[in-house]
This record gives sequence, structure tokens and C-alpha cells, in this order.
Amino acid sequence: MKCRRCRKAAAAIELPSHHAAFCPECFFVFFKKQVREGIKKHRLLSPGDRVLVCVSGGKDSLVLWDVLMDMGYETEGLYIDLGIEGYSDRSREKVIAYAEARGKQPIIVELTKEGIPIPEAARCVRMQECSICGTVKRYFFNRIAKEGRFNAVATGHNLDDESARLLGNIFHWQREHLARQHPHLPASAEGLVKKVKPLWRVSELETAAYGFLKEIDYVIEECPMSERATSLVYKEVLSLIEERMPGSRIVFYQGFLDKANPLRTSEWKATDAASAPAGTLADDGVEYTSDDPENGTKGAARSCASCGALTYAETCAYCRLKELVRKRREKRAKETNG
Amino acid sequence: MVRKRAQRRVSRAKEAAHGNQREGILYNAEMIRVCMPQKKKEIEIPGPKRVMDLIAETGMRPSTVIVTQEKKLLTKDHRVEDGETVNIISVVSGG
Ligand code: SF4
Ligand SMILES: [Zn+2]
Ligand SMILES: [Zn+2]
Repeated sequence: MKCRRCRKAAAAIELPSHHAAFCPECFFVFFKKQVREGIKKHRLLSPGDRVLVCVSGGKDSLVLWDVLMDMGYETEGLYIDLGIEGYSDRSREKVIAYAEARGKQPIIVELTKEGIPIPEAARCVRMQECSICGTVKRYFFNRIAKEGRFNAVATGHNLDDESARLLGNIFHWQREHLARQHPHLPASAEGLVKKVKPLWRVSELETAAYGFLKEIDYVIEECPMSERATSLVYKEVLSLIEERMPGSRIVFYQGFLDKANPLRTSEWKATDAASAPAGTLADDGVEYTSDDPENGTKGAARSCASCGALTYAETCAYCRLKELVRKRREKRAKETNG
Repeated sequence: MVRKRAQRRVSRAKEAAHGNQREGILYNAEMIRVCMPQKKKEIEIPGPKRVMDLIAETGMRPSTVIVTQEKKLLTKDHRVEDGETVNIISVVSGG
């Protein structure tokens, strides 16, 4: 099979959703064009933006960082070490090795050092690891962005992630989350930095192929906590549809952004923020915490009494979680000593 | 006690499987070796086979994997011969 673009080299990848097949060089051109169009379409980034790229060591986030650097954006990588045995060490190594090869040094936050490793925190509050993880990660995205005077936080969510989330949100008619699901969440009036997902137009397969062909060494194993993720079910359903009807995924997600956009400005946003039941999933798979300034428009935001982060409560969700872990450790220590 | 015995049985079964596999590799060096690094699994399939047929034999879904050989990415219609090794890498990220 020949490349459909240059018509000379042998194709390395076929993309039924684009009725195309590309050689590696032409695929790089295609991929970057897709990302550039995605950025342009919803004005995710401006040329002068200082971008904090959240890297996990997986393919999507490392490819995102790679592409943004190639495009000339000023970027720094943020790695959050979740404190998950084995997996965290291995993914961290990949991030450091990648960054070094590009003459960079990632910003590293270690949750174990912060006193809030994810597995322990999840046990303390008897919640799913992923719910806790989401809250903690977002806390640091905002905090590091503020400290480092970044004006954008970029994550590696791709088309498969976003369309699976969309399907999940529709399935449960999560109006509040639907209203907020977008590759561009603008900076808030209270001072939260904008959040962008520049890979929203490219599929998981395309990102993996790009990472492989560019010889980006990423962790191929998944976070062990992800096995239970319901998003995998939605992904499976969508890939079945995609195989039968190539191009469905982008039609589904882009159609939502283009046609269902009125949701974003409707009154849903305000009413559901107050009434969303606890335990439902927010737009990035995070458990709904009503005092999280990113989740609602309820009342006036103020500074956390303990750390200064934006919150609707006395102290922010992160500080309360950390306090719970600390108390439980204290209790444990007493029990074993006495 | 019962449990111990069961465990022993399991490990013996594993050993046997391992032995067979090794033998398999020795005796059938001329098959296609398919590695699935995320599943930590390797299987051998008699060739020649197209990449899409190899994927089908593993039960994975074609749109969720890339198939590689050393530094090359293989298209679904690429023909793989006996004695070659390919990797089938899942592209699905969780969470
Ligand atoms: S799978 Fe869950 S715990 Fe693991 S990184 Fe994703 S959100 Fe965090
Ligand atoms: Zn070409
Ligand atoms: Zn706080």
C-alpha cells in the first residue's frame, strides 16, 4: 500500500476515518495539522502562552508535549508522582528520560512527600482511587500554574477519551458535566488558569502511532487503578461503532461541540451545580465535590484557610483530604503504640 | 493444607506450560512470534499471515492496537512470514 499523500513511499499507517494511508513523514505532517486545527478551532492557545503540560509518562501526554514544543510554544512539563508502587516509578523514569533528551527538566510533585499518596488517601476516605486522584491532580495543576505564572494548563486527552466521556455523560444525563465538557475551559474570573486539550481531534491510535514513529519511549502499561474505569466500557462501544462506520467518533464529538454548545451557556450550569448528587462524575472523571471552584458557580469563591487555593468552603477539598490522612496516621500510630 | 496442595498443583501446571512453550519455540522456530507486551504474553502462529489476521487470532480489536516490527509500523494488509516477530500494542488508555 502506497502513501496517499506523497504517492511514493510505502504506507505505515492507514486511517479509515480519514480515508487515508500515510508514510511516516506524511503522517507527521497530517498529525500536526490535526492538532493545529484543533487548537485554532477553539482558540485553545495563543502564540505567547506559557503552557504547563501535564505529563503522566503515557503516550498521549508525552506526544502532546513533543508536538507543542515542535510548534514553538513555551512549555514546561509537570509530573505528579501518585505514589502507586511500581507504576509511579516506572512512569516517572520515562518522563525524566524524555525531558532530558529534549533538554528539559520536568517539575515533579511527589504525593508521598506531600503526605497524600493516592492509594493511602483512597483507603482513608473509602473512595475510589480515581476520584481522589482527580481532585489532587487538579489541585496541583492550578497551584503549580499559579506559582509558575503559566497561563494555560494542557492535558493529553484525545478524541477517544473525550468521546467516551461524552457518551458516559449522555448516558447518565449529567447536564452539568455536559455543559462543561469542552477542550477549552477559559480562565475563571477568580483567577483559575485556562485548561486546554489540544489533542481532542486525534485518536488514540494516531497518538500511539505518532509516539512510536517518533521513537518517544512511553510507559505502555496503564495505571493499575484504571482497570475498573467505566470509561473503558464506553471506549469499547465506540470503537465497535467506529470500526463499522469509520469517522463516527469525530462526528459524534465535534457535532456535540458545534451543535450542542448552547448547553454551555444555559441555566443548567447554575442549577445543576447545586443539585448534582455526590459521587457522580465530573467532566474529567472526578467525583463531584460541591465546593470545588471548577465544578460550579455556587456562591462566591474564597481562599482556603490553610493553603490559599480557591474554594467555596472554609478549607479546600485537597487540604481536608490531607488532614484526614494525617489524622488517620496519628490514630494508627497510637493504636500500635498503646 | 488443602490450599497448599492446590498451590503446588498450580505451580506444577505453570512449570509444565512453561516447558512446553520453550519446547514450542525450539521446535517451531519457523512460526510467527506475536508479542503482546501489555498482557505480558507471547504466542506463536503459523505463517504466512496478514497483520489483520494475526490481530484477529489474538481476539483484540483492530482499531485498538498498533502492530510493530522493530522500528517499523505495519499496515493491516502487511504479510508476515514464518520466523518473524511482531508486537501488538494496545493503544487504549484507561481512567
Ligand atoms: S487511573 Fe485513576 S488513579 Fe490512575 S492515574 Fe488515572 S485517575 Fe489516577
Ligand atoms: Zn508519504
Ligand atoms: Zn487548601
